[in-house]
Amino acid sequence: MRRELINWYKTKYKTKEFISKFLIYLFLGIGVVVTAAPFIWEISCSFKLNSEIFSFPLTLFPKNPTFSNYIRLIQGEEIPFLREFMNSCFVSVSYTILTLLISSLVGYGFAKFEFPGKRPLFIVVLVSIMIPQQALLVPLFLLMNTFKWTNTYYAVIIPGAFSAFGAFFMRQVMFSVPNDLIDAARIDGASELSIFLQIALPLARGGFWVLGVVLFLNSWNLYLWPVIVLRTEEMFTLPVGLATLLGLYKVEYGMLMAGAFLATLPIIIFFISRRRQFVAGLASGAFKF
Amino acid sequence: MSKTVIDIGRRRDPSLSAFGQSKSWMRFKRRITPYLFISPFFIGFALFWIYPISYALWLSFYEQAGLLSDKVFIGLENYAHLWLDGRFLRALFNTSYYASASVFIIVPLALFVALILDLDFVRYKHFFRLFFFTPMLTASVVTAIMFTLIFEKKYGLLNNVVLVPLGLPQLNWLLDPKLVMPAIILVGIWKWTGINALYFAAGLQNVSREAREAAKVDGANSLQIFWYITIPLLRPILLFVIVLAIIGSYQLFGEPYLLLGGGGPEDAGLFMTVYLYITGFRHMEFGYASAIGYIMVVIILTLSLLQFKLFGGFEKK
Repeated sequence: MRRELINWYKTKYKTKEFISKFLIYLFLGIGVVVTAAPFIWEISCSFKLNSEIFSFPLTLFPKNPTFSNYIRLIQGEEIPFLREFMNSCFVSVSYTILTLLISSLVGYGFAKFEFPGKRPLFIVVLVSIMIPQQALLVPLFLLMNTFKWTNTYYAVIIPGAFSAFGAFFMRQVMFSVPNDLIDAARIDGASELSIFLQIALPLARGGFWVLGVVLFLNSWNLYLWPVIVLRTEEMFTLPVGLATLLGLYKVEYGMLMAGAFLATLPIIIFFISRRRQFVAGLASGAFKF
Repeated sequence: MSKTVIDIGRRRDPSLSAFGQSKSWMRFKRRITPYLFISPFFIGFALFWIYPISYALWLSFYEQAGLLSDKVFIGLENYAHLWLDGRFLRALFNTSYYASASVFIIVPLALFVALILDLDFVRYKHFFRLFFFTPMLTASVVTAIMFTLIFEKKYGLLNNVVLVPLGLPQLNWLLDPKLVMPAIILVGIWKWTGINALYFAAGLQNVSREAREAAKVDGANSLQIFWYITIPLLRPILLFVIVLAIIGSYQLFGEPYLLLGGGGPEDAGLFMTVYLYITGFRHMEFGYASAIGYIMVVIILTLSLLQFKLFGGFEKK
């Protein structure tokens, strides 16, 4: 009797455990499907013509798969896609390099020197991180107008390159450079600039990459500022160009999906090859929301 | 080291340093070096941040419509007008609606995901964690494009795959004023749950396993452990995530603007940043848009400072 009771208890416990495990995996499975569905649907529809997208039954695998969306997109039928893709590459890469350079200089200055005015200057940087970019849109646009920078790459690249977050982030990174090494180099007669270039930067490589990944992603995805300062199609970055496709009189959904997929591709490749930096960057809370 | 010693040995003129440079020049150089490092940043920062943010404040006391028109000083009228402006109040309401949905739906869901991925028997945790945050890597424009075909009434994925099999009617997500906000919130859940789960996962690693196991040995059930140990220890991360979610709601632009083509039907999906964009760059009311911008500054700065205070700030390394 007692053994039976124990056995009953054991099986009951086991089924309970089994059910909870099953539910948890079910939940995760649903999570994966829901997360993946928009991507899969986007890719699937990018191989369909409008007529198939708007017909029943909905198909996961296109009945008549076609590359015509991609071909027409790249040929520049509705928007100068290739040009805009290259614009985005140019803008993102130069923005990332410029910002990394400026941020590591100021970060090094803050981390490794004592000087009058350091604290107030740093507090200004910190406060500016908390202030939303939206408040800057109008005055910066007016400033770009005075500089005659509207519809140029300068307007998209330069104002954002003085990133308070970048300064703050590189300061944290530069703290990890050992002071002893810097002092030793100083005693050996190295100039301050060569200490920075040959000792601090190589040692701060890890953080440098993390910030680089964050900056590149933010810049690649940015929509609000470029749509304000860029005017003509051939100057548009990819997000702005794709958004114009959405506003056309007759929306070519297949092309739109193809464009959206191609715009995400560099990020996905970047993400797979630089996974660790992405995760570190994400954890620092640096991505724009 | 040896080089320095030799140099000092050679030194003859006492006013010259080891490298033959005058002492005062050396001192000047040492004093100026840090400023040379920080100056590229601060010159640009002054020009592209300090000047514009101050100019915005000044501009918010003026009325200016269009680039060529004159500025007219109107004092606080822009700010006074905001509280009578139905569209602004609508945007404030929608944004707060979305913010509370983030706090009460996305944040708990993310916490739940993180807790599940913290369980011992769950395999491929790393994969799940990475997979769940891929949506946030997509540009807001790309997200909006993807979801146009998901929310489509007749041929959309959501209606046909989820609602119709359940015997529910097809909903007009993007054109029905009552459904616009839920649609935008669904996009938000899809996009932001993963990253918040990642924050929680990082936080959970700091919640010591010993504390939880000790409680288990003492006979606490999982719910009690969650409520009395995990949550209190996660408090800083919880605050961080909540504040970030609220700030994110105020920054939201691309998804609602493109999915709804502006504010949506009857402004049912008008967000703060969208309204700022419309007043500033469609109607060219620069003064009024600056005032909206400053209201956002006040709201977000208050929240950030609150977090800063509760959190102990950025100085933690």
